[in-house]
Amino acid sequence: MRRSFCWLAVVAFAACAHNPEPRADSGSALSEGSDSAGSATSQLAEVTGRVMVGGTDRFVMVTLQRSDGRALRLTGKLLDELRRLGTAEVTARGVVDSSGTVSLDVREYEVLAIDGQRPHVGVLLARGPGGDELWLAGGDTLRLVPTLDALRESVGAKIWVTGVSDPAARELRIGSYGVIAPAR
Amino acid sequence: MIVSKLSHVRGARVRQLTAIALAAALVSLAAAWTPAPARTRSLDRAASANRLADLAGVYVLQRASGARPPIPFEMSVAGGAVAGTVDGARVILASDGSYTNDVVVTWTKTPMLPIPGLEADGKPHTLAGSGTYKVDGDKIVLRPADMFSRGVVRSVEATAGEKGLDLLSASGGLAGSSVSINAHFVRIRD
Repeated sequence: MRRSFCWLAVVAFAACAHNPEPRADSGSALSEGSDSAGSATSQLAEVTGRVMVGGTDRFVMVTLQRSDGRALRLTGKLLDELRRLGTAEVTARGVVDSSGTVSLDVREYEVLAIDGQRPHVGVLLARGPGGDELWLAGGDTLRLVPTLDALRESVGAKIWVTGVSDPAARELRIGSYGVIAPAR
Repeated sequence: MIVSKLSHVRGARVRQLTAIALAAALVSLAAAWTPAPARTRSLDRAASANRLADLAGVYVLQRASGARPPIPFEMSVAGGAVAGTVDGARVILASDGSYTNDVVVTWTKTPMLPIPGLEADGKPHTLAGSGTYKVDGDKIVLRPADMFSRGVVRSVEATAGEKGLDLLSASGGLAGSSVSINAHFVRIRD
């Protein structure tokens, strides 16, 4: 019997387009309500999971894989930021659109963990004499140590940093870092 | 098996390379059902965590069946010819049990597709993927989870150690029961 194979990418694409995603109303992880428009196909939701990124250099799909294994496609203005957070655990809040493939139009998100560690997220600032100190302005404003030359290029960018913080000294010793949104 | 569906135009070596290229693409394009990350862990939780930490790092494709990139491939899928080269591939294993991967493919022949980045324009295109992995004795099992290729591959079996990462087989989804892989990735960074 001849088994019909489509080209992998075609099938992958088709799978994306017609993926039977979990219904917005089927998951206990969803905290739902009606949006302001009261639309039958959109609901406010908060979803926690791991960001998964896949696609080509010109066509990327970002999904949130929940703890039960189900995935939800992410859309919206924050997508560029989320695609830079691949494999991070986040809580995303937004509007669920279930008119077609179920997706979440992300309005805000919180990064819970990157490689198992809670990151500090904020804007990278240059301070001090000659601007030679790097600070992260977020929930707390912390000086980054050591001062990495590679980070200087990202002043003004939204970044995440994991490491060991010393609140008393207002310092954060960098373990790892990444850019979420380039400086404007 | 997908391998049996391929058109082998240059003998066994091409067959191998084709399978490897396909597998490499599968790693990137792969995704399917992915089990929930373990919330309850066994008694060897610490050992498992240590193993994940040991394996964490950046691995780059060094060779596949003895050939170094760029690795040409040609295959026939659904009656259409697909050809190109796998120019490179990278797998990054994180210590939290997640991974990301990139495969750079230059397509020289593809069916007419409206998908950006999959044109046979002779230019290299990067295919990205991500998922989770688990350690099972000496072997690790990668489970792609990105939606782009959902349903193509369920899992990729590999071994990893100080010398690098060796992909052994891909299975599930369109890969069918199993596709053999013989690709070695060298570890370049912890």
